[in-house]
This record gives sequence, C-alpha cells and structure tokens, in this order.
Amino acid sequence: MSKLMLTAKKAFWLFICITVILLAQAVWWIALMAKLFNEKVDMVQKFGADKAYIDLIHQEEISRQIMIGLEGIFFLLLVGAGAWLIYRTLVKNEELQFAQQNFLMSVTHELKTPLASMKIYLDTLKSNKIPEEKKLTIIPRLKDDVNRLEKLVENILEAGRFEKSGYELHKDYFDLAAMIKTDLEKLITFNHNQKLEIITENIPDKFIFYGDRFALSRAFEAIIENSLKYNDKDKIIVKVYFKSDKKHIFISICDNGIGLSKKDLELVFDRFYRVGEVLNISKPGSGLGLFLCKEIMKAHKGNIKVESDGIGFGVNFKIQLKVIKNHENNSLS
Amino acid sequence: MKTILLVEDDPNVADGLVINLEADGYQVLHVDDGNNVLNEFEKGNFDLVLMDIMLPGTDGLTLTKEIRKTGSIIPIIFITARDQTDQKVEGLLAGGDDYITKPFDVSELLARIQGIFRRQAWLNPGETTENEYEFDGRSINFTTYTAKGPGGEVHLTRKECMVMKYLIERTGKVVSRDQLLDAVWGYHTYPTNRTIDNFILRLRKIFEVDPKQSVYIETIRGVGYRFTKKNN
Repeated sequence: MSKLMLTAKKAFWLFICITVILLAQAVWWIALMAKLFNEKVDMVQKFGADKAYIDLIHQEEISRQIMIGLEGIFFLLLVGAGAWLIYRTLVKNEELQFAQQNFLMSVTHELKTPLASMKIYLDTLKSNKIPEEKKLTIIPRLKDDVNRLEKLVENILEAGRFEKSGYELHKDYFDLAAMIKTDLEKLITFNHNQKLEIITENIPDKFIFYGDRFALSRAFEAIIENSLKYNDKDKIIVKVYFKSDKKHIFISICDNGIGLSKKDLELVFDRFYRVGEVLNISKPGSGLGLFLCKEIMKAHKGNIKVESDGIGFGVNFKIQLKVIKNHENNSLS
Repeated sequence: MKTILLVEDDPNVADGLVINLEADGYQVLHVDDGNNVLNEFEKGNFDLVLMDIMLPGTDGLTLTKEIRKTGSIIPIIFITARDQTDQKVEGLLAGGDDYITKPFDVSELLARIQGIFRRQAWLNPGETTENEYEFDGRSINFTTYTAKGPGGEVHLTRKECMVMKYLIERTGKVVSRDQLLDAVWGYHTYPTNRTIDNFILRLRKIFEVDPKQSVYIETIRGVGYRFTKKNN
C-alpha cells in the first residue's frame, strides 16, 4: 500500500473516531438533560406545587432545553465540520506532497537522462577507438537530447510563470486550421522513426480564431505527443476531428494507444500527475504537459476532457473553444 | 569475449553505451523493456548486467531481485538517475554489485566494469585452479560460493567470498577495513566501515563455534581484522 493511501486511511479513521466520540457525547448529553428535566418536575411535584405552576415550570424547562439542545447541535456540527476540514486538508496535503515528490523524481530522471546521453556521446566523439563514420551518426542524436532538455525546461518555466501570475495570453487573430495542419506535419517529421498514421477529418482550409496561437499550438502538440508516447502498437493511429458551429469549435483527438484507467481519467490533468508507478515511469515528461493544456484551454474560456474505455482502448481528448464573433470568419466547415 | 546485457530504456543512452562497450571489446545485448529482461537473461550467457532502474514494465530493482532469486551471482551494475544515498543503498541491497549515477563519464563506467571483472578473476581464477580452502574442519569454496562450518553448509554471497579470500590470503596478518573496501568493493562511496563489520559478523556466525569469542577472524581494535588458523 502506498504511503499516500496509508495517510489517507489514517486521516479517515481519525475523522471517524472524532465523529463517534462527538455522537457518543451528544447521546450522553441528551440523556443527562432528560434526566435533569424529570428530576426538576418530580421535585416541584413533591413539594405540592399547584398544576399551573408545574405547567409553567414544565414549559420553561422545555424552552430552556430546546435552546441548550440547539446550541449543542450547533456546537457539535461546528466541531464535526472542523474535523472534516482537518481530514480533507491532511489528505490534500499528502496528495500534493506525493505529486511533488513524483514531479521531482520525474524531472530528475528527465533532466539527467538527456544529460547522460549527451555526456556519453561527447565522450564517444573524443574517443580514438570509435570509427569516424559512427561518430557522424551521433550528431543528430545529440540534437535530439538538446531538444528534449529544451522542452522540459520550457514546461517547467511555463508552469512556474503560471503559478505566479496565471496563464498570460497574447491573443491575436490567426488561422487555427493552418496551425493544426502545421503542427501535425511537424509531428510527422519529428517522429519519422515511428510508424505513424494521422487521419484528419473535417479540418477546414481556413478558420480564423482569436486566441494565443503559440499557447494553443503548444497544447495541441502536447496532446498528440501524449498519444504517441503512450502507445504500444506497431502502427500508431491518431485521428483529429474538427467541427464548429456559430458559438463553439470542437476538436477531438483520439488514438489507438494504451488508454487510461478510470482513476487516471480523473487525475490526468492534475499538475505533476504521471500515469504509472514511479519506478515504471520511463516515458519522457514532467507531469506538466496536460496540466498546462487544461490551463491554456481555461484561459481561452474553453475546456478539455478525456475519455477512454479503459486500458488497451486508446483515449479521446475533446477540446471545446469559444468562437469570438466580432471578426469575419472564413470557415468552410 | 565478455558479453554484457544492457537494460536501458532510453534509446540515445543505450546507443552511446553500445558504441563504447563494443569499441572496448565487449559483446552487448540491449533490452529496453523491463518485461523482456528475464526472458533474455535466461536465454543468454552473460558475464555482466548494466541495469537501469526506472523502466517500462518491470523496474530494475525488481528485476535484480528476480535474477538473484534464480541463484545467479552475475555482477550487476546499476546505471540510474536516482542519486540519493538511500536509493543507492536500496539498489545494492536488492543485489546490485555497483551503482553509477547518470550522467557519468564513459571512462568511469568502463573502469568499473573492468574492476568487477578483475576482482571476479581474482576470486575465481579458473576451473583448473584449486579453489577450495580448508581449515580446522571448515571449508570455503570460491567457485560454488559455499562454506562449511560447525552449523553445516551455507551459501555465501560473492562479497562474503571475497572478504574471506582476502583475509585468507593474508593469514596471520592484520588487514585494515580500508584495504578490504579497496579489494572487495573497489571504491569508497559505499559501503561504510560499519558494513564491513556486518559482513565479518555473518562470516563469524558461519565459521566460529561462538561468534562472540572469535577464534578465526579476530578484531584488532582500531585497525581491522586478522584471520588465523588454529592448527597449522
């Protein structure tokens, strides 16, 4: 059982204990009040008071006990809510710590792996034992490593900037359809080693959109890269579907990858979240890509969600963006 | 030619290592998925394993434990980005012989591999050489890594065998803890002197009638240890 689950379990049982104690106190307290009430009425009757006086005492005592009862219930609810808040905070805090540890571990791995590769390649270039033609094959691979590092550093800096001041968009009118096509071409070029088929459906020739081209392109690339990363098929298939109406644009990106479990579906957009156990996370990434995606969509007043029929059934990312009206839109869709 | 099983999921790191290891005269088989390692390990006759820890499928620590469970004493060197002391200790306790953190110099890795092969050759010089040592009804076999003491026959780890061999080769002479570290581990980052004491404790339990009243492996206070035979 993970440390996170243990802490959550402990916090839960602590909350249950506090609740049981509170309920036991409430029962005991009500029983005590009822006993006092009966004793007082008995005492007044014993001293031979007349019925009117006994009724008056009776009424007074009932009002007093209702007041005390309500105050008691309020107090109990207050303490109960406090205990619940403490429980939630404990669990949240533990989740955050776990995510940060995960992030640190992932980033350490992600930073050190390309560094290790670069160091090995540089040593190789220096070595007299390695034939020159072999050395020539190393240069593009060294560039791959630099690109990997660059991407990781960009993601971390971006997440840091977001933390400080929210996602700042630099909006302008641009051709969203062209952006999607360019990004897809770029991905095909970069992933020429993989057997990759990208199917596009309904993408118009031109679609002018008001937004941050750079941010949206980054989000779009992150989603497709995710589809490439988490895919164990010999042939990777990514399908991009575009649809728009007067108010919204809908983009769906689905793949034939390894899919997501129900638990991962809920957490995949969380900051630092990585799918899989820490020691098995070998796919490059920092747990920030999809988190930034969600924030970019939110900043555009849009949203993103992910669907999957489970492990082995691929995923379907669904993006919805709001169309800004005050501009001529040459949509052909 | 020595054969190395390289378990590494990053294609560039693996590519660079294969180029250098082959240039240094080793034959290399590269596996990039933790789930295929045990299968390849069983099929091949390897002399050493270079093992990454964070892997897709089964992780390197679990794989090492699985390999050790089969009774294999093949040297395993971890090559990993995990650089905290407790992570290194975890790796060595899982059955690793050495631990090198990324990024590293290729020359350092090659030197460590050579060091392991050199120590292995010293411990086990070859089938033709008599590789069993007997003393006072006890014995230790440096080929099968077995020992016989008052409590019967037990299996030893390679490190335990090496500690014993180093002491036996210097019978009657005092050996410092640093000398043992140099000879058996070949470097000083791990373990500590305290770990040597634990190895000695285990060896005493095997060879001594009363480990607290040690006869064969004496502690020389402030210096180290001395192996002596009772009946020459």
